[in-house]
Amino acid sequence: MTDIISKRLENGAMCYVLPKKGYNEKEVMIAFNYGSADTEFSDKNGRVKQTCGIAHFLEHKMFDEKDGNVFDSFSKLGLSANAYTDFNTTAYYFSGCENLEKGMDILMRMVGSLYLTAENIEKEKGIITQEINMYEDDPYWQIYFNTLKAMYGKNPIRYSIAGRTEDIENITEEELRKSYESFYTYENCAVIVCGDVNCDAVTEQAEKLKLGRGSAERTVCADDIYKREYSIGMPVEQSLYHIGYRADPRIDIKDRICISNIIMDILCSPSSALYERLYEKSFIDSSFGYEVLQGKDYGCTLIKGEGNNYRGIAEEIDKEIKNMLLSGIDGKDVRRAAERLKTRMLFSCENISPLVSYTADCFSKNTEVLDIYDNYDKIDVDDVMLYLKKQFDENNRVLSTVGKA
Amino acid sequence: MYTSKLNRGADMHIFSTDKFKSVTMCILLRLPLKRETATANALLASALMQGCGGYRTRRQIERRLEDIHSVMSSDILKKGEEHIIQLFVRTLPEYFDEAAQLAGNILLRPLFNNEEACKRELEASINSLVNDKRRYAFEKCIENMCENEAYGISGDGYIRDINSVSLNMHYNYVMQNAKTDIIVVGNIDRDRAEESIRRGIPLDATDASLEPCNYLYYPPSIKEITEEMDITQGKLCVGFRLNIDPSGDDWYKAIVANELFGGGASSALFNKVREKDSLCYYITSKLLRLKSIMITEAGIDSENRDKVLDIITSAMQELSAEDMENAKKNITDSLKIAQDRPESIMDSFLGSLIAGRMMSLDETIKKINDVRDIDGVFDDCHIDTVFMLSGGGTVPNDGHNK
Repeated sequence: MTDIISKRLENGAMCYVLPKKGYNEKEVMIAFNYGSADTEFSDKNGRVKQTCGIAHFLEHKMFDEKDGNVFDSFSKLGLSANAYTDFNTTAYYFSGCENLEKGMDILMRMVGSLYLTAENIEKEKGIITQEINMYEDDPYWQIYFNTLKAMYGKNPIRYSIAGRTEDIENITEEELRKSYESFYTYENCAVIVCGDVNCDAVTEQAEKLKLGRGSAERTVCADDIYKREYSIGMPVEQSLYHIGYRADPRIDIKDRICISNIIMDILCSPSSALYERLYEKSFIDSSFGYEVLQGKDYGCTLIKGEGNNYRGIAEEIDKEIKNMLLSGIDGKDVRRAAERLKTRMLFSCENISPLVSYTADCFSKNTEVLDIYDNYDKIDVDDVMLYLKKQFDENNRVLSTVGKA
Repeated sequence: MYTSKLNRGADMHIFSTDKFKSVTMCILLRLPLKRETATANALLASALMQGCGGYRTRRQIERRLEDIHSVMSSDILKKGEEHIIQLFVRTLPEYFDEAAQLAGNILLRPLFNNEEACKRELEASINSLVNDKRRYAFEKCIENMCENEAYGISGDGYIRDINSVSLNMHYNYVMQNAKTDIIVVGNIDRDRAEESIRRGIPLDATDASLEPCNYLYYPPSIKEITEEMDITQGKLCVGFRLNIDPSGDDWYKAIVANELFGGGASSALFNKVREKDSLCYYITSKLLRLKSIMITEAGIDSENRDKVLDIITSAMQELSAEDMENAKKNITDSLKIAQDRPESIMDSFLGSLIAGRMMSLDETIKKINDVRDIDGVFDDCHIDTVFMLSGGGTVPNDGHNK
């Protein structure tokens, strides 16, 4: 599919080199297995509970240096830098055509030190407040977190990544330092390099990364569905809906990812009988689709779209699942779905940026891109039937909507 | 890029490279953007994959696509004052012939099975524009700015026109009037691709003509429009008329100036509005080349509208060329990086087709590097429209219990 050279560095961090011969762009990412969901953990002083949004706040602050802003140092080299935070990962990266080595030095220096002042923390609160407000008005973002809130009573993935404005108001230097020291360590770190690069030179350089050691122990969160239905109103013209199924996170994550995708492909992709039926009834349109979200202590599949007939859709989905359980699934359909999903993976891994982020995501979830790709071949019809029966049960289902206010 | 005539009114362009493992193809039916046909074009684009000779339903088409390891989609593009129906295909080299055949079938022998469902779908998608506030503000700004030009027409169509469209009739009209371009990028031999296309997509000749875009416009006064909505963050969208010829050499100056003004994290706007005054999370400016328009977008507190607008206008007057070498490097790098994605290779090629100025990557890079200063670049630039989507009502600022 695509080449991935993975190696545990002597310093303890992981290094992934993703060679892309002939490409002009190069991208370097330093990713930490630390995200918005890691707000509760224990360290040598006992249990810690941090403010929602702390990982994302820290991400913003990593760009500050004593003599100014690291964005400028990258920009002077013709490189453009950015970062993101999701549930399990905080990632810093830059891309450009030249100066990879110098850029990598800056990136390593940047994640290896933290420069905080009362003033730069206050300034960031204004910027992040605007970022939070932007998401407040985004119905797609709102429904996403309402679904997760409905699905999980306690797990911190139910809270928006950037936190709430009133949370971040109280973030302090001490708390940010705690978060940095607890998680920005070799054990939690992956260096990912993609492009037409020299693999040996890159790994050698990555050895120079300076970080702390160890890792705080995360609190694993197991809990129950909070609400079966979660509906709000917003200024939208079209209703949005999510039909979500929770999955048992104790199942191997590769299996959860591959099997959920295979089930979705057979159940409701445009090549399925159900899709055809729902489309002909005008219940669904091209906004209809699905998303598989799997992590260490959470897992779910979201069927989503826009339109007002979500109850009818949910009923039809239930009926179709029961039907599949009764009459069984053809092994050929499982293979066909697996092949289609593999082809799609291959297509998306042709582009540098999604491939790099996917690699980081897999790292935080303790797996690798190629392991997932290969795992598709190992799934058989019995695995699929068992998973369908246990995980796509009505009791695991929630419905979330955003209607016209 | 190798170009060859398919017939009168249709060309194919093949860029053969082993950089990618896949092959990507787009078939573009290019038409002038007009109010009378906007809705019908958009509807046709969304209905194109509902069935065809050999594969009578959407489901059968999708099953076939699975068998030949391909993905396909159809959509509508608005580029300058052209309205383009696109059929997009991605496949593996060994299945290119089959994929071209299926695309040819869909394009030349379509079956519009679910006309009613397609109409409801288009209606829903036009309605859902408002869900994305940033895009909504952008589209509204353009609509107001170009209210008397073709560019002001919505590429997605109009709800009130949907019911009167007949897909079969409009399909015939399009096939007789569209200028067709087929672009192929990827891991495939040029001759093989050409042969597969000639065999799989035997298009009829048309007499298509497309007018170039008019780019000169001097606004008599500034249009200031504010729309209220129940939102937390306001969206400011400022439209400038640059009055610079998009196919002339001065255009490269405009590209450099735009980069310095609002191109990225080191631009004047980002530094002043976000980093210095903490007034926004995002602020950018971008060029709409074919209309010689520059648009600045920002997400801000509505009460700061005037403050931010003042910073934008003064930043433009004070724009310094100090960082010009970096800006040029950013631009030339992004041009090179665009060569790493089949979609962007196609997109920039299409842009050049429409602008009527073909240039190789090296030539374009040279033009950018040849820019010596940005003096006078904004001399003929005028604000045309200031659109503000304003948070009028109150939204509880509480993410937990809504």
